[in-house]
Amino acid sequence: MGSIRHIQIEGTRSTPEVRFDPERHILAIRGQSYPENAFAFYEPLLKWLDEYLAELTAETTVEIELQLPYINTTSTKCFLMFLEKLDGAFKEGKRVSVRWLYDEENESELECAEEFKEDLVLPFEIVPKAAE
Amino acid sequence: MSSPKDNRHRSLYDGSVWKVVILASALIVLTTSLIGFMSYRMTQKEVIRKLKTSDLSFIARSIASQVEGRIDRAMETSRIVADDPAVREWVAGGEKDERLGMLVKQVLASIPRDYDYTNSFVVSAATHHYWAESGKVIDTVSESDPDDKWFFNTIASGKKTDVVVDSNSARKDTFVFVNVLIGEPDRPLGIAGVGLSLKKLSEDFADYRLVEGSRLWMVGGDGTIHLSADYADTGTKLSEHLTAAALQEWNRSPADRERVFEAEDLSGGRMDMISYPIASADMRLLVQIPRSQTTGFLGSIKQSTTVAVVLSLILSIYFFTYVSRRMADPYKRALRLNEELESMVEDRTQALADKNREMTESIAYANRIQRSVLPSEEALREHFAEFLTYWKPRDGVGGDFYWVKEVGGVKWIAAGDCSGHGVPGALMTMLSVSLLDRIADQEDNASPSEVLRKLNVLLKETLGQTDREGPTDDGLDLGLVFLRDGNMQYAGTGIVMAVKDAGGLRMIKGDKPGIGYRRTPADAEYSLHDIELGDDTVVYMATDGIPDQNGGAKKLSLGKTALLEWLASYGDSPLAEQRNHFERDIAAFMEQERQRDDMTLFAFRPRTDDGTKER
Repeated sequence: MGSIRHIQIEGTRSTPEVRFDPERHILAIRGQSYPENAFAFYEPLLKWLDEYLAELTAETTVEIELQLPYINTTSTKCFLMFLEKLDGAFKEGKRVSVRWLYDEENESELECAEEFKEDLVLPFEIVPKAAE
Repeated sequence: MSSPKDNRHRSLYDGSVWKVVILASALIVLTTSLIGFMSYRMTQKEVIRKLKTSDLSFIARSIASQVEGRIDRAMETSRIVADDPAVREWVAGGEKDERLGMLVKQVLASIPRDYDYTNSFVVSAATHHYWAESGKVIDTVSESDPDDKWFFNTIASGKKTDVVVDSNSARKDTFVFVNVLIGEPDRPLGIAGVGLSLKKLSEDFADYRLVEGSRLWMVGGDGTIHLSADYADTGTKLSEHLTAAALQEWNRSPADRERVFEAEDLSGGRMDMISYPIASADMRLLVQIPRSQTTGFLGSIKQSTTVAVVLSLILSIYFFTYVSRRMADPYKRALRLNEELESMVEDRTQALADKNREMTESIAYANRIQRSVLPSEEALREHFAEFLTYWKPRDGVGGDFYWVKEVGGVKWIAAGDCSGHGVPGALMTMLSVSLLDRIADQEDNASPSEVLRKLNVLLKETLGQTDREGPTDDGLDLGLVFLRDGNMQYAGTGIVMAVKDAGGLRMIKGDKPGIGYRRTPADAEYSLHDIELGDDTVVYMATDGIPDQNGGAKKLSLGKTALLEWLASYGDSPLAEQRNHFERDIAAFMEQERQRDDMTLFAFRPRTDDGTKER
C-alpha cells in the first residue's frame, strides 16, 4: 500500500473534512457537503478509492467513518457512488464497514443515513453521537 | 493618477526619507562644527600656553642677557682701568707723576675711542679730581654737591664694583656708569670707571619687538623706566603706562625671578607680560605683548577651520542626500508599483462589477421567464378554493417549480425539485415542465405513477442518460396529484407530501428513486397512493430545501417533523394567512444563515366540485 498517498483535506463552509489513511485503513469524512459542483470535489476521492480498493487484500479491515450533518442532492449522488464502490468491495469478500455518526437532534441526518443504508449490504452502523 | 494618490505618495516619501536626511544632516552639522570649534579652541589654548611658558620667557631672557652682557663688559673694562698699576700708582702719588699721568690719560682716551663707551674717568679720593677721557680734570667732586654724592657713597660702601644708572631726559639717553674702587676696598684710592650709553641698546630694543604693539622696558626698583624701546618713555614712571591692575601685578612680581602674568592695557586689550630680573643692574625687564598679536594667526586658523567645516558639511550633506535619494528610489518604485497594482485591481473590480451587473440583470430576466412558466394566481384561483405558494429559488432562478394543468377533467398538480440550483436548475425545470406537458397531451395517462414512470424514461432519453456512466447525471424529485371526480391520487419521489383534514396532518411517503437519473432504471415503478378527500382537506407539497435548511440555536437542519409541526400549528386558518405564518417562521429559523437550497411550499384546498362531498 506504500504507493497510495494519504489524503488530508481540511473542511470548509460547504465541503467536509476528508482524512484517508491507507496505512491504518481508516477513511473518514466529516462535515457539511453542499459545494456548487460536487463532482469536482468528489471525483478525485472516488478515483483514489478505486486505486485503494484495487490494492486492498481480503485480510485487511477497513473502517469508514462518516459524519455528515447535511449533504445536498448532488453530494448525495457522489456519496452513493462512493458507498457503492465500498459495497462492491465488500461483495468481493473484503472487510469493509461503515460507521455513521449522527446528531440525535438532526432528523435529516438520520434519514439520510438510513436511506443510504437501505441500498447497501456491507455492515452499516448508524450511531448517535451522544451514545458514542 | 488622482491627486489624493500623489499626495499620499509625497507624504509617505517626505515622512520617512526626508526626516532621515534632515536628522542625519543636523548630526553632521553638529559633529563637524563641534570638531572644528574644539580643534580651534585647543590650538588657541596651546598657543597661549606656549607663549606664556616658553616664548615670553625666551624673549625676556635673551634681552636680559644682552643687557647684562653689555654691563658685564663695562664692569670688566672699568676693573682693568681701576686695577691698572699705572693708575693706582698715579692716583696714590696725588696725580703728580707726569710719566704715569701720560699713560693714564692715554688709557682714558683709548676707551671711548676704541670701544663703544661714551666716557671713561678716574676720580681721586685724595684730590677729588675728576679726570675725564679728554685727559683733563673736568670737575672736583665735593661732598656738598648732590650730583657728586655717588662718589662719596661708593667710596664709603666698601663694594669693589658699583653700577649706577642715570637717565638723562634732556639727552633722551640713559647712561650706565660702572664705578670700580681703585686699590683695596677698605682703603680706596679713588674710583675708576666707564660710562655707557644705553641709547644703542634702546635701538636694539626696538628690533626685539617681535610684534606690533609690544613694549619693552627696563625698570628700576622705584618704578622708573630707564630704558625703553620708545625713547619717550625713558625717565618716566611705569605707572604712566600701565593700568592699576597691571601695576599691581608688576609690584607683586619678585625682583630676582621671572614672572609671567596677564593684564589689560590702557585701552582694554589683553596683554601677556613678563617680568625678568637684570641682576647686574639691579633692574627688571618688563615685556608686554598684546594677545591679539600673538594669537593673531589664530584668526586665520579660525577662518580656515571654518572654511574646512563648511566645505565638509556641504560635501557630506550633498553625498548623503544623493545616497539617500538612491536608497529611497526602490521605495518610491515600490510605491509606484503598488499604485499600478491598485489601479489594476480597480479596473478588474470594475470589470467584475460590470460582469456581475450583467449577470444579475440576466438572471433577473430569467427569473421573469421562469415565473411565467409557473401557474398564475388567476389560474390557481380558477383551479382551487384556496392555495398557498412559497417559491424561493436560492440564486434568483432555480430547480424548484410547481405546476397545474387540467386534462380531460383531470387536474394535474405537481411540485418538483430538479437537480442543481440557479441556471442549471432552471434549465431543468423548463425541460421537466415541457416533458410533463408532453405527457399530459398524450391520452393514456391512467395515474400519477404512470406519469412519473413515463417522465423518467423521457428525461433519460432527452438527456442521454440511459447508461449508468456518462458526463451528466441530472433528474428531479416530483410529487404529482391527480384530482378527478372527488378522487385524489398521488405518486411522488423526494417531495414532502402532507395532507391535513379533520383527522389531522399526515405525511405520505414517496418512493426512493429520483426521476431521470442515470442510476434510476428505465423501468422504475412509482407507487400510487389513493387519498380520501374530506371536508377542508388541504394538501401540502414541499421540496427538500425546506426541511434541509439549517438554522435555530444549533444551526441544524429544520427536519420534516418540525416542518409538519409548523403546518399543523397553523390549524384551519386560511392558506393566505398560513403563508404569512410560514414565511415568518422560516425567516426566524434561518436568522443569519444562508439559504442552502431552493425552497418551495405549495398547498391547495380543492374546490367542492373536485370532491364528491357537498360543501
